[in-house]
Amino acid sequence: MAANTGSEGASADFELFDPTFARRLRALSLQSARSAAGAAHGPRRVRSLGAGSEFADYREYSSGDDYRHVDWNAYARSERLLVRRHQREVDLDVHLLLDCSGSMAGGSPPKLRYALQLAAAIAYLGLCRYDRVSLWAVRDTVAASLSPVRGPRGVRPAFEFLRGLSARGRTDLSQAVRAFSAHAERRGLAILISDLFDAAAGVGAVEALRKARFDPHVIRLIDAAEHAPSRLGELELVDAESGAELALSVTPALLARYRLARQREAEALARSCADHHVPLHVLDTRMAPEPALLGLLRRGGLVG
Amino acid sequence: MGLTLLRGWQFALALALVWLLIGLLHSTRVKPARVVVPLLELWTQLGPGGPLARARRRITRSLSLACALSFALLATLAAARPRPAWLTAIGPARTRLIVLDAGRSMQAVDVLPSRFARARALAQALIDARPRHTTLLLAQLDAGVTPLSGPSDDEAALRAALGRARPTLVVTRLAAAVEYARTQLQGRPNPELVLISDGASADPPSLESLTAAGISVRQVSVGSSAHNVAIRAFSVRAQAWDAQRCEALIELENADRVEHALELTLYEDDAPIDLRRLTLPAQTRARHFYPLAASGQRLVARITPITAADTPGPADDQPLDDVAYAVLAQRPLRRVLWVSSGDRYVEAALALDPHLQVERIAPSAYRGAEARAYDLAIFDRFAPPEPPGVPSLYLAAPASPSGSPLRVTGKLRRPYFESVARDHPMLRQISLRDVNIAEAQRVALEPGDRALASAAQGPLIVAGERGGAPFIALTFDLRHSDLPLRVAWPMLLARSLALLGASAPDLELPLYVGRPMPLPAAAPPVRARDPAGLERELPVRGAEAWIRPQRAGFHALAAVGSLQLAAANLDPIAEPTIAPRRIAPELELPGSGAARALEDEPGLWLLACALLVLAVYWLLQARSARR
Repeated sequence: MAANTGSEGASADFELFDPTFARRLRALSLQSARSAAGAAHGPRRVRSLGAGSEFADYREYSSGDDYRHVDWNAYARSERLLVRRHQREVDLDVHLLLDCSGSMAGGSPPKLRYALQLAAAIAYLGLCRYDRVSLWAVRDTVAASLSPVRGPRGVRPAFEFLRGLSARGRTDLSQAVRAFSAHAERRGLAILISDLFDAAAGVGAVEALRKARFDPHVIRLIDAAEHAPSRLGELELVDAESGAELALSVTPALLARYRLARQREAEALARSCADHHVPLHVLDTRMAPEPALLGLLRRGGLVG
Repeated sequence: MGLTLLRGWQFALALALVWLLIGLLHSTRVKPARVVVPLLELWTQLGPGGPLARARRRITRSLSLACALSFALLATLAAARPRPAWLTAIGPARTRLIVLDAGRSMQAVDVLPSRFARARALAQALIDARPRHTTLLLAQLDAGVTPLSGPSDDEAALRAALGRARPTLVVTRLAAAVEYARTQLQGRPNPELVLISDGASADPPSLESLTAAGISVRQVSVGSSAHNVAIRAFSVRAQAWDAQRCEALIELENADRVEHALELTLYEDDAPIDLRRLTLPAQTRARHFYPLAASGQRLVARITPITAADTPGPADDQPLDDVAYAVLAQRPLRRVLWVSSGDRYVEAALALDPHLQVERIAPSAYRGAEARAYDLAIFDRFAPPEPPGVPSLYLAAPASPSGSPLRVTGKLRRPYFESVARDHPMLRQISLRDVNIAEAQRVALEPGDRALASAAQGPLIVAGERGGAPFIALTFDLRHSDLPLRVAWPMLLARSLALLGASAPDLELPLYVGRPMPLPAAAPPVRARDPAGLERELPVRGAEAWIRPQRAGFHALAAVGSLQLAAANLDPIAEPTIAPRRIAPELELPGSGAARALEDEPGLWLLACALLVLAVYWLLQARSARR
């Protein structure tokens, strides 16, 4: 069924992915489902005992237990009063926050496209597990959002939502996260996909997510040319978001300082995430999305 | 400021077009690249930018444009070859006469390839480094001055004129240069005579006239050697009674200060016939007579220095005078009238000369006019009634009021030869001292007569001229002496006849290079072919054709009905010394023409400035286009 829903959901959005990636995504969904819950399909099971439809275990009757939960057949066999225990079913909310500011338009390939592919893949996997997946386009605030969808039927609206996104505008992740927190009805997994060029703002956003009792994960996309530029000479630098211009004579020394500054920011972000036990995944956009996604799966904690 | 290659409007138009092109290129040049960056704030924090960078870029662009325009201006101006007023301004004008010594001594080879070649190169250097505002005149000098150019500052024309200079075989007369300089340079600004010469001249020049005329004189010395041995004279003549033998005269001179050992080789028609080794002390002249077994027409004498392997001797640095030429004239058949009653000794002596056609007539048959039909006449104990009008030999001619050449005044008893003119060709190397004479005539000489041999009492052999014809007279009867029995008798007779017959048209007279000589010519045309094969027609004036040989060697002369050969040699009038001599203060040779070119061509400086500006422009471009 999951295979059917998976194929049904993926087959309608080949323009977001190339056919090869789509096939690999379907294969990936089956693989991740097997690796996450064994032979179980359907909604995510959280391993806690409580009210549910699936028998999990027996325990001795104790005063105050509901008589309806006593397994009389087991009493007839063992003349012991045993109470049936069931797995408690919990829905997982997966919030995908996509940075759609102007800086995401840069890079080769464009970081936004890469982010959309990642978000589509993660959403697909989550929807195949019947997680509640919501998509949020953030800039300096929440620019657009997709109400939580669930199950394979949510793939098409999710993909349509993603296809409609474009990179423009300024970035203010902290403010955007606050707005997201205010709009999100349920807590859960919050996956922020951004280039986090402003690392300080990224730290603030993560902190805001933690304070809002989300389970933050950060996927940082890096374009090698933007991260370590090499062009020298008299240049007119234009800010991708604000359009501000700066005439600059770029020298090798200046480039070295820039790279050093970028490295320090990256280290600060990694330190902050590590301090708060926030998984930080840094992906180089030169790597194809599929192996990047597999890497995320292998490291665990994101899909599983 | 004047422009040499472009007129004013052409220069302005060219410059305007170039500037317009530069302006268009500058305006359409690629502006600085715009690069979109994710976070401009970081760049702002790290590097200087903003207005400062823009201003620096504007300045760089402005500088580049200024460099491009400046380069265009400088290069165009340099190409137009400007002549600024300060360059063309009238400064201290000068006139320099360069006289190139082309005389014989300048062909010495102590300076390779020759002194003259070296002198021409020095003249070329003087032309190339012509001082500013200096007008040059060129001339070459030998016995006279040959102008090569008029006053000129056109270096190309001067070089072409210098190329026409040629060395000659004539001895240099520096006085000719002095006179030429005085006439050419008088009245000219700052005149100067520059003599490029070794100073070896036939005449020591006096420079006072030039100094008095305000003409400075400078010399550029050429040559250093004085090593030279020369053949000053070479002549040959046939033996009177032996057509297969001849006698050669060679005069050698060592003009050097050291002794020379040399080989003297004689050639007959290009084949060596005689070789002798000689040693000549320093600065000596030696004359040698050689009997030769030769009958050919062309004879050449050549000297070569002898250098031993272990003691190399001095070289001979003047090869021109190491060879001399002579023509052994083919003696013509001469008709001789012998008026005699008979004398076996005379007859036998006459028979020895195959070039004599002798006809004897008895004295009684002689009428007086028949001698004119002969080349020579011999009157043996006979005095013609009147002077015969042809060269004559008198053997004891009796006294005659008109026919005898000498007036007989008496007799000499048993005279003997006391004094003999041994330098006379007739008597050279003939011994007459022990000749016995029983009796001789006492004769009275007339003015112009010469006693070639005399006894104490009076002359015995007399030579002179009567009626325009030469005569030789023996004042004694041969039968009254034992002279016919002597070895000297045939030689004496042959020489006397040879001397008497030497008034024929004489091509044996030596020809000298550069000296005009008259030759008897019956009628024009008379053509001459020189040793190089060049033919020309000789000018004929009256009964003489004038030849002025330009080359040493054999010259063929062709007239109507005759073809004769003549030998021309270097004129011996001058000393063969080639020792250089200082005749004027030495002229310091100027520097290279390149230095003057820089000084006189502002365009080169402009071009250098243009290249410098181009280098600055390139640096600016390289900095701004660095990737």
